[in-house]
Amino acid sequence: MDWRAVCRCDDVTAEAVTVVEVDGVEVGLVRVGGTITAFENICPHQAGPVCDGEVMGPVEVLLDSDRRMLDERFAAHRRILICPWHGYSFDVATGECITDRKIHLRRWKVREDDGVVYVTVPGTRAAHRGQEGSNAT
Amino acid sequence: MSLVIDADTHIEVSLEELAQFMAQPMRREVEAATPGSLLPGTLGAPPSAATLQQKGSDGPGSSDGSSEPDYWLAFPGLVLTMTFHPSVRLETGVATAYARWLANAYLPTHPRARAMLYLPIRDTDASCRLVDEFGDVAGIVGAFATNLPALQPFENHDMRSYRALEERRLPLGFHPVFMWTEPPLTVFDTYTAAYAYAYPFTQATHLMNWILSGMPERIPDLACIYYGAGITWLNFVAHRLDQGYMRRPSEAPLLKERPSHYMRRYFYGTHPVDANDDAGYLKATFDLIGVGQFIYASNSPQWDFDTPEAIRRLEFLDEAEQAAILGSNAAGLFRLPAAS
Repeated sequence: MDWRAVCRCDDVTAEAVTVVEVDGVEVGLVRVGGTITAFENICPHQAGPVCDGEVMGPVEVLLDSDRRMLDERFAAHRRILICPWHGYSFDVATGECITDRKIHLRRWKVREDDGVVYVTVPGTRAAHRGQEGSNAT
Repeated sequence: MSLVIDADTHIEVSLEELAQFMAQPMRREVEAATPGSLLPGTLGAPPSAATLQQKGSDGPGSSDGSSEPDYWLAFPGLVLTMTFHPSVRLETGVATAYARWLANAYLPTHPRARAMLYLPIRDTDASCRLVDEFGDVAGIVGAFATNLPALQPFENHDMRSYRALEERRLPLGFHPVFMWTEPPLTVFDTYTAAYAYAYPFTQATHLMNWILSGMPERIPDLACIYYGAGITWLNFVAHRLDQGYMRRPSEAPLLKERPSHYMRRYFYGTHPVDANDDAGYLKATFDLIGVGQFIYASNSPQWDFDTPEAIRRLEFLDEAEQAAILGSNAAGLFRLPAAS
């Protein structure tokens, strides 16, 4: 498998996506818990630069047993990436669109080694088959 | 012939008749008023086709060939407009009297009739009381509300009424009513235009608000029925709502699926539907929502009523699908016998 070093591990945070370019393809990196996920910077909706969007918790509502709304807040247990073009929102842990699981970002394999982040080189699709995104709607 | 259940038959009951079921002093207040003067008006509404027989029609029809359906759900014309009345107290009084009239006068004398309680949605306590007191009465198969777009009843205090219905497995019907004198309909200078726009607008507005406020997730087992706007508005709403939701999910944080998916859980009265309409467009609507979610509704004897023939002439539906829409879907929803 052809791995390319793209940045230092310290460059990748949980608060925003770090976009790097590998052989002309933009890939966004974001930290999720103890690992890093990598997505191609193309929104499956209309090909917008999804990784340029904000990372934040999705809005969640707390209901009581009578289904009354007690509170509305940003969820702390989950992070989403919001495409700056149309607002399509994706779970940064999985790449799944939060409003339709059939839609998801193209995901790249990523690993950390000795403080450096590596991703697989674009174009070797077989290398990351099974983790690719889909434009299915 | 298959079972025919008319999910929307209008019946006449006067305010003076309902007054007999009111407590004092409201009873005196109603009896002392000029007949008709306490009711919101319906400017421009054509006369009903109450004289169906005089016009030579067989009426809504049934599986045994009689002029009546096997079962019908009765909706009272005058009560439908009470939600426009400035006095919530009077609306609640009428709703309570109507429930008593159903339980003690109408349903016992009409064995094929079923009815829904009228929920005075502006008064949650009264709505809950009505469901508690009359929800188990023989012949009561649900509750209905009107003018929901204006009232937007999604606040916390509203949940009690819906929970009370959900616990009893009683569906909630939304019956549209419009006042030509109210915005946005005042831009129309013909009744035809106001009529064509108002009912789909009313139901689309309410359905959008209802779903985006998370009601299908908050009250998941409450079956809802949208009446009286035809069916083709569903295509438009499903597509526009999905588009909007995909772009702004933070405005509907309780939803777990696209809005159109929730729309497929609810039920829709077919009236008015016409085989002369574009068959492709009609078929697309049945395909989008699912044949199992549609229930035949005549709106008889209003001027724009449908007969079962309106369903039987939809050639893209097979016999089993037509039978489901005409009877068995409603039989399941309202827990009626599946055979006539």
